[in-house]
Amino acid sequence: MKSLVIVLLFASVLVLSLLLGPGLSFGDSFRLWLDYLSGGQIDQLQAALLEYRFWRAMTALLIGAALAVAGMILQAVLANPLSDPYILGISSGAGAGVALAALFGLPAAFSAIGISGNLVAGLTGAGIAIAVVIAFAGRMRASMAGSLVIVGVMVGSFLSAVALLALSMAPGREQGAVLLWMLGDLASPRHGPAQTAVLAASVLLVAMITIWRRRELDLLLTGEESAFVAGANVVRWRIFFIMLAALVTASAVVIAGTIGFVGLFVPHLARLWLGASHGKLTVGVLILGALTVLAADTLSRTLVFALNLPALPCGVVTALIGAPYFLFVLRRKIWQS
Amino acid sequence: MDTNNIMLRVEKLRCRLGDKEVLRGVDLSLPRGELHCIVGPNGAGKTTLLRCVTGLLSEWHGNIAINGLDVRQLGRRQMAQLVALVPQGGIEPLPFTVEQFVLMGRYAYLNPLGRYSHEDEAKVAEALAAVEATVLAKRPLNELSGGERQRAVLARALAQGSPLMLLDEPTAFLDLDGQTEVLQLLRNLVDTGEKAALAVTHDLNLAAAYADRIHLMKDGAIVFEGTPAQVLAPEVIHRVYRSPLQVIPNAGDDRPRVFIVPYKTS
Repeated sequence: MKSLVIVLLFASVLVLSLLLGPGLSFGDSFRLWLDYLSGGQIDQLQAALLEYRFWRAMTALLIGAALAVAGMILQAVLANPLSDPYILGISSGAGAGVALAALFGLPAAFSAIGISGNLVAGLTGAGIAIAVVIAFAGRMRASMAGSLVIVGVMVGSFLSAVALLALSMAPGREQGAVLLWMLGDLASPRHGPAQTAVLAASVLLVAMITIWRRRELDLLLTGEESAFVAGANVVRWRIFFIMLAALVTASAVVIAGTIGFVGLFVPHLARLWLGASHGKLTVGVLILGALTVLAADTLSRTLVFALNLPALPCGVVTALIGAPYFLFVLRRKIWQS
Repeated sequence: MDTNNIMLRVEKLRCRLGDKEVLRGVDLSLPRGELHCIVGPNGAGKTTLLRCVTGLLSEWHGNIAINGLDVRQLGRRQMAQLVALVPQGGIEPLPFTVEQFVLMGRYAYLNPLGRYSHEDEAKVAEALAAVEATVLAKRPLNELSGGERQRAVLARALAQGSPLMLLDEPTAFLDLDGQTEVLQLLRNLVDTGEKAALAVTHDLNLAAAYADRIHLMKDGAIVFEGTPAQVLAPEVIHRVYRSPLQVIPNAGDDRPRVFIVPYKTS
């Protein structure tokens, strides 16, 4: 029953996202998709629009799955319900990288040799942030996840400041695009078959490893001492899982920026429905995360078009709707305790 | 005493936490088939001692051997197969079912594919039956009472199948029946002759009623060690506790009991 609801919901959101948007009305989109899929002759520009919508939908699905699974992993590893994919400074690192690149005009230099400068700069920044966190994690005793969160938050705060400093000094024409990306958005042309393929590969890899090593995540969620006395090498597994979470988070962030809240509330919702055991939970988190970001992006795109807004970042939509909804779901639990 | 029969031997154990020397030369030996209790005031180093034995703390000096094996030579899994810990303060009410949680106790036997065997499942069923929690198997931890949750924690430690059981205030959340059930369970476990248990407790009377020997700790050292009758003697316990206490040498089971008597007139 639950899974039927999810499948129907998933299918309808996907269809909506392919039919809604600027440039083509709902009905026209429907007819064009039928023509396109049946191999009929359609206008090249219109075909490009359909393809754009398709890749954007695929990217949204993957971004959502990536952020949600990263949040789930970090909530278990840090045994902290407030963890999200950005808690260890990954997004701030990517932000600092991209902002510094904009300051020094790297994107133009890189695109001259055919590489996305923002991709390289973002991944480098995220990598530096996580390297610092892991350097600390490796020297910590088993029972130090709390301190690790503090290290991550400090690294994140520092790199956010670096990003804002670089951004404020960057040329005016660069500022708008970088700022919109930082807020979390799928509208900028950072996605396409190539980026989507990279993201898809990292989500698939991390999802498979997570399901394979679900027992360690189960144990870590019960607390580091509990995991330790049951025989888990807590320090080693913690670094392993932080690296997994960093990989999917960084590949999502360089494409779509900091889409907030998905990685925080999706794992909690999924745990309420499916329980805490990480086998089923991982599958549920991937699906629910994908669904959430696709719905948020479809909604933001529709609102931008319908209300003629200059921009409405997807990350703003997820938090605007996600936070109240999460409180609504949790209300009984909170009031009872 | 036959040295092969010693399940846990601690020698000259010293441990610093920050500036404070929390353990200052602890010696302790626990034979197979016995239940020992550690009692003593807060801050005496009881929990630190258990944390050193399990490896949760590794910055200590001295010797610790479990079943004749030096713990410094053992990997995490080997350690978990030798020693199980029931920690202080219970477990977070997470939405794991009791069965899923108890199965985590078998982690040290997990195969590389992440699958548990039939033997693991049998051990879980056995452990749940031992703590009379079989009916709770499918219930999530977050819907249980504190006492039921403590039984799940105990079952997980039992399922681990380790010959040495360490317990840190296992009766802290439990009502009278829960307390006696836990101690009786430990008694039955060690009376098979295969296992040994070491429990930290604040309850002198539970220790007196169930333990083979009691270790009295104060300021990072064991100040006295002996049978309940030897330890719960007025001149011994007054070395450690300031409260006005009255000792009854024999409560009908050839074991002493202690009472607080605030307005003693003599």
